[in-house]
Amino acid sequence: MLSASLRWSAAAAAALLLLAAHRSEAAGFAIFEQGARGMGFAGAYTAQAADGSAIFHNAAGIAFLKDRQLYIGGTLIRPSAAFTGAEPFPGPTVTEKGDVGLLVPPSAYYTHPFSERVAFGVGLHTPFGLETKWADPDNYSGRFISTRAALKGFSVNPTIAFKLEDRLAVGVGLDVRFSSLQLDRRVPVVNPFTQRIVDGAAVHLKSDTNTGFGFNVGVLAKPSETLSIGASYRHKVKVDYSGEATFEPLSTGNSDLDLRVRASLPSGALPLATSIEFPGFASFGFAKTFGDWTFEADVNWYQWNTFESLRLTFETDPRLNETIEEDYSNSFQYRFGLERVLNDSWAMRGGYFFDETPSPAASMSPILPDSNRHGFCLGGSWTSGTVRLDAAAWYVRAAERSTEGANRDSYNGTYKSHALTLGVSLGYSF
Amino acid sequence: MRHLPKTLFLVLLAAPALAQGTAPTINFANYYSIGDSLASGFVSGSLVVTHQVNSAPAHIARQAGITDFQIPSISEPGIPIELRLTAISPAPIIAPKATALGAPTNLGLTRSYNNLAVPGATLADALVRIGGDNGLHDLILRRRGSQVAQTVAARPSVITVWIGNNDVLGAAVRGQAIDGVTLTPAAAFRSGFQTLITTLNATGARVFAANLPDVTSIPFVTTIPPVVVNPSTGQPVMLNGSPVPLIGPSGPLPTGSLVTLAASSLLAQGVGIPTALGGRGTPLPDEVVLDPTERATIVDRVAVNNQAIRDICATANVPVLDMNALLRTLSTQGQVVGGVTYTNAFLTGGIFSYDGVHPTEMGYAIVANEWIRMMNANGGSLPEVDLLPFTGISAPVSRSSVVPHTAWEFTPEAYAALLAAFPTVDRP
Repeated sequence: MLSASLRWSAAAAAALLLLAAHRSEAAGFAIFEQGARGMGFAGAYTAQAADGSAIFHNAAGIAFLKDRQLYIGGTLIRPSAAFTGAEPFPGPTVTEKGDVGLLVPPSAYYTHPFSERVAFGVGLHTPFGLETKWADPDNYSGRFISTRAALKGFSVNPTIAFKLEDRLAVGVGLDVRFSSLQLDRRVPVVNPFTQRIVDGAAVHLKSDTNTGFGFNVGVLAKPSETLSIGASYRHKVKVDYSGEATFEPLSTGNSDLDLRVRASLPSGALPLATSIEFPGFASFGFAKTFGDWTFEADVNWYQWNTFESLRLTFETDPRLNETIEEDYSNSFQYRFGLERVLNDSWAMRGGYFFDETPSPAASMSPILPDSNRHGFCLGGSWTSGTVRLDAAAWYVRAAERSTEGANRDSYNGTYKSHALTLGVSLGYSF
Repeated sequence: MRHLPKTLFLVLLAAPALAQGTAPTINFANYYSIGDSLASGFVSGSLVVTHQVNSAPAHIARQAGITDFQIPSISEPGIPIELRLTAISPAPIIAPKATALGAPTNLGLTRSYNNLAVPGATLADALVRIGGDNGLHDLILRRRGSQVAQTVAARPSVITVWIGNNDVLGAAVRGQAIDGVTLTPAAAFRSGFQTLITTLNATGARVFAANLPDVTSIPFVTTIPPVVVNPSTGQPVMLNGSPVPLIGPSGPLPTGSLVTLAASSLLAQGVGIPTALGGRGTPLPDEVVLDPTERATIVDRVAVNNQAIRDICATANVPVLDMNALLRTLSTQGQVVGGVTYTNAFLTGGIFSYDGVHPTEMGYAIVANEWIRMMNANGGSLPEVDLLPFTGISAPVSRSSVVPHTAWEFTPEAYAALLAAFPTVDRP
């Protein structure tokens, strides 16, 4: 959560949105801000899935949607992160800051009932993303590990759902995951004249936008008018990346040394390959309505043990090959949300979630320092005829967490972060 | 009497905890260091206050909050004069950075120095030598008694002892492994170390010892390959698909030979290089070459002496710091600090100074943290040394609260005289 930045751009022909969301909204690099109505329930939405964001939350939900619906929106995320060093490196006097930016992960869903029993939909959302960027990269004390790590991407998610009974539906979707990866850092050199470290080069690793495929399934049951139960599963997706690494020499302050450094650096762009297996995840929840009040509680399970390591392979220069160990464990999230309908136009929501970190202390690094998160959520809706407007705000506090002296790059200290997010979604039925 | 059973029960509960429990805390009220150059803070061929204040024992004292840790300080440019790197192109040139020696600045201290380590001291020296070398023994011991005698007399509460390197190092530096000349015989080492530990333990102080690194892993002997190197590429010259061995005292150097940095000036003159490749065809002298037999003798002696240290210290309940493992790690995989991998490479590894034998300040700080971890595992609670000031890596914060640290000062003033310590080296 350091600084995550999310960018998106639309290419006219492909209409692809490239985005990177920052990782403060869900532990690891999962993202759960997929629609402002669900956000108002703190993401506890598997058992309701009552708008187009069902394509993310529970595919079966679109079977219950009336008319054609468009549900589009975005989330503004303002992350903030800080690091305080520990002995022996970089030491307790060192503090570092994330390079805070404003991130805007978008989401867009279209649903279309074909008949009473069959509905089709397509969504664009960002189940995973990351950007960690540190301020003042020329002086940042962890710059030989990472100055910026970005995992951008989105899923295009065509979905079909069937009502098996009036109160029971199932859905299935194809998850086409577009993703790109970028890592920037400095290359250290011992200056032989001073026997101290200087920055020999900046290295930029950048992948193309590569694609992986997965699927998702969901089931939604409404045993009574006031009770609904939902479960969904999104399969793991492996993306193989191809890209390149470029080495940009930096001045060391000594021209002879500069010559030697330049001579030792690979010239031009080196082909680079790596892969990430995004975790699968499953959600289970129930929602109960009491008059004007609706309550939902969900549990999410993330199969984070797919994220064992990041292997960087340089086909033309295997000496540069590197494995960044991550060694994540599977983890759970717990989400609780409450809504009160005030009148025909207005509703208010609030919720809380706890998101368990999948990361061991040793993997808390400048690339991705993760810890348990607590989310406090508020939201509301305004509806008028065929239009609805949802808004929600999250305050996400990541627990202060120490590397416990175990960081794999011997860069130890305590990370602390929080984020403020504001989601807005506009729905239209036609 | 009704309470007795309960009391007994508590005692029974407590007993196992005491038996296997944590070591008693360490009292750093009076800390002394025994050793050789590696404990004195010797850097780049020199004992000089700039680096003496960052020796491993000085770090330990600072981390323990000791304010009166006295050292035999020597002013710049040190004794001997500190070496520096004057150029890396076309070949690295290492030479003394000045022409006049530094001078002792703490000779008037009316008690023993806390860091009694004397560069060049062997185990036997530490036990009995009181001076008489017209050199550093005289300056540091001041005829007040041997290192061990002065330590015992000071009634210390903590002692670190890292001695024995010079009982094997001479063989590596002089290129000759001769028992009784460059190598202390194993039996003499064992009995001397037994005397040392028995004597120190008898003071009642907490004693911490270190074993010996493999001196055939230091850049002094690992930097120059035993084959002819093309000076412009730094790569071995290949003839019929094979590298060409340098010429040693008994003909072409066998595979596995080590060539010391002291050979560098000779190689620059063509000594040791076949005439067919532009050399003189004359052999390198025995003093700059370790053949595989000599090398094996040294490695074996280090192992035998370390076994003696392990045995003796185990019996005496003295913890032993595994310096051998530390150097092996540096040699094989390097040590990572903040994403930077430090190695035993000469000039570019960050750990070894310009003499190829002694650590840099970064090296000593890493060694100090190894000591501190061992002490902390044995009842200590010292914070580790902050390594950042020794890395050169800046951080975007005010660093005013950091312990003041004197950085290297390589003034560009041209010191004309390039004494012949290690004049040139074939590759960085």
